[in-house]
Amino acid sequence: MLVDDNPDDNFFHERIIKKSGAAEVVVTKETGYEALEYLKLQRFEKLAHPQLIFLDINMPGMNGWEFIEEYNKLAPDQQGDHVIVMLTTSKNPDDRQIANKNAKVTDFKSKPLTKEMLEEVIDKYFV
Amino acid sequence: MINLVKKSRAKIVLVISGFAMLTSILVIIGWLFDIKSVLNVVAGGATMKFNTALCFFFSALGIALSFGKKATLKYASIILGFLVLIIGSFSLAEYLFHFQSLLDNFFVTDLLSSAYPGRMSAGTAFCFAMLGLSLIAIHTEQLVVLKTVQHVLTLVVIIAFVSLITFILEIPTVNKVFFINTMALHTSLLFMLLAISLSLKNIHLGFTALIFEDYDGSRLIRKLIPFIVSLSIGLTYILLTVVNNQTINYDFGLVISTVAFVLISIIYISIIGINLNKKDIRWRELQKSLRDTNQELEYYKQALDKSSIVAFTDAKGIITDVNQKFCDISKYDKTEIIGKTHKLINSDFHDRAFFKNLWETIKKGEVWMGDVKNKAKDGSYYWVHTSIVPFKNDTGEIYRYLAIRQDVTKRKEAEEMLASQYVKKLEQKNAELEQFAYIASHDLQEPLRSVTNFVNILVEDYHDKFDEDGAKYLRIISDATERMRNLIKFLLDYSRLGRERKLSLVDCSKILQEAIADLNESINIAEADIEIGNLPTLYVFETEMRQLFQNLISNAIKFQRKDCKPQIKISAQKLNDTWMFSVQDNGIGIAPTHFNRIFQIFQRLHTSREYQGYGIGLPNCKKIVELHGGEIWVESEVDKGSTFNFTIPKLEL
Repeated sequence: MLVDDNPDDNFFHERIIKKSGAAEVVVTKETGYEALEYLKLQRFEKLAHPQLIFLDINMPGMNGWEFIEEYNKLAPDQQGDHVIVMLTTSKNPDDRQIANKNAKVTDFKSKPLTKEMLEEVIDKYFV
Repeated sequence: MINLVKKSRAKIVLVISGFAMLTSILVIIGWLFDIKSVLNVVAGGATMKFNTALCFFFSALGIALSFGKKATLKYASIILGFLVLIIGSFSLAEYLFHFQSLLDNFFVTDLLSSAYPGRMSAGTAFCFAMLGLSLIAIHTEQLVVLKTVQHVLTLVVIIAFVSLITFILEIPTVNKVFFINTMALHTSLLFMLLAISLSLKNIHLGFTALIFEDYDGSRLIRKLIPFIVSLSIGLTYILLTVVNNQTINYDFGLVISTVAFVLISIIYISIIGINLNKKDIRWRELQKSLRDTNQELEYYKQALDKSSIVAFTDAKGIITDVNQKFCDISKYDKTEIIGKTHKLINSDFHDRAFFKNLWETIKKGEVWMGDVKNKAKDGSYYWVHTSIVPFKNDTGEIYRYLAIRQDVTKRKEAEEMLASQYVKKLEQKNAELEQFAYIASHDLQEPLRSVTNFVNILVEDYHDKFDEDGAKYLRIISDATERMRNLIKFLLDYSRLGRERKLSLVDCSKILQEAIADLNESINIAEADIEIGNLPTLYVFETEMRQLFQNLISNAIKFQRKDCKPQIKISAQKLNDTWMFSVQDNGIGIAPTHFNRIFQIFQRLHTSREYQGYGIGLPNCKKIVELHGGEIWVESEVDKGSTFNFTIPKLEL
């Protein structure tokens, strides 16, 4: 699952994931609200359960951190397996500090997602 | 006047007594060898007797000795006084009790005088008795006696003077006043001179004082006595002469003489009066101007008291007087302040150097001015604009200080508030600017990333569909976006520089070694030779400081000349409270016109083809040095090399 307000980024990341063949389904959501909606409804509407969520921080309306706050309130089976926070800039100590404090965040990476980065994540959490 | 006479009186007395002794010796010789002209000077006049001459000799010697300082001289003069007293009073006794003794012709036999041969006249005897008595009594320290002596001497002068007048006016011997009837001319003269001499010893007492003092009355006496005496004697002498010559008759002469006396007296006294009046007028003018000045000063003082806080201190700074305003503002009672120093109201706001400078200034005799924060009795603070004026006496010594103060508390508070407002505003602006740079660069990243991403997609998926030109354009877009990405990154780094800074005590040699280690690869490639001097241990922002060294060294390597290998010298020297570091290279150098430009962000002197770079290294260095409160500058010559100097002040935690 990709949560990012930038459709260009979503397109690019989806393409990387699809090309690598790592995921059966890629769900893209452009706001935190939509993403939460999806997570809440997935069981009733038999939607695909996201094992890996790539979350953008810098979003209008609900930003990444606010999303995580809401996400934490969901029932465990509504949540995804891993949340990877995508940071806009690699050297952004402020964001990194907040990410370190949040236990629900599995990892954080810098944009853009590359083939190598994806392989590394899959090796680390799914193999 | 009195001081002038006092200074030279010893000389005067010596001359007079010498003259008297000489005269008396002449007379003695005259008696012994029968030289008549010496004995009576005026033909037919009275003769000076042998005993008289002897007494004059003793008296003159005694008077001269009495001015000596040694005790023996004093006793000798007293003995001489006794001899004179005995001879004088014995002769006088002969007259009073009608007897004749051996004394009259004891030394020589007087064959010249018709009445009482060999015996001095009654007046002479009396005068000697008085003179002898004075010579004895003058050595006492009792004021009453000394005053009496002065009066007695005055009496002698008067008697001698009267006798002198009789000679001047040529009164025939038979008509002479009984008492002085046979006093010789030189006898009277010597009496006058000797009596005056002796009276000079106690010049501050009696009639001499009256004559010689520096007051208007004494001056008047000095002017009038010689005038009156000489005028009256002169007029009488002329009158007698013309009457005797039978030029005019006696009655007419007397009238003329009287009229002349009155007229001359009036003119002379009027001249004296005019001068006195002039003096009086001048004196009154002075008095008035003094009064006016005093009055004016009083007004100034009142104005000062009303408008300012005033304090007087002595030369040591102990407060001797304060005005009401001082008490009002300091809230101390006057009695609590006087006798203390200004430490009483010290606020501890100013350091020692401040007060040291103050004292150095006023001790030099100069006025000190400045703003001082003081503390009142209730602990509240107040600011005063202070002027301290030293007062000097005739010898230039400072004997008192006057401190005039104005209450400037309100102004100071306003200034402080304004300053703190400025600081707040500045801090706010700085934070805003930092935030702006951060957000701007942050948000610029996103579209740029999209460009990069989609160029990559094009390259990956469509590379075979592009011709050579198309592939070249793609590469140019890719390079340009890469460069833009770096620029944004550096801008972000620059704006974030020192945000997390932490001051710690660090050995600069250690940081430098770390920086060199990081640059190891490029140093080896360039075969650079780095020479390091002694570097201090200072409080610095460690990370930033390391970056500073790194930037400067990598610049020194980067901008090397093609024909030689980089030689870099790093050193530090202490300048008062700061350390100056220097990084010297032998590279391409910089033209002086660019000395400032190189420190501005994104300013470059060379094309990317010549030397790669973004124009970020030196601006970073500048910012780091300024974070430490120091300065950075360059000294350079094209093709010779550059030296980058920067200062790091002594910082504390």
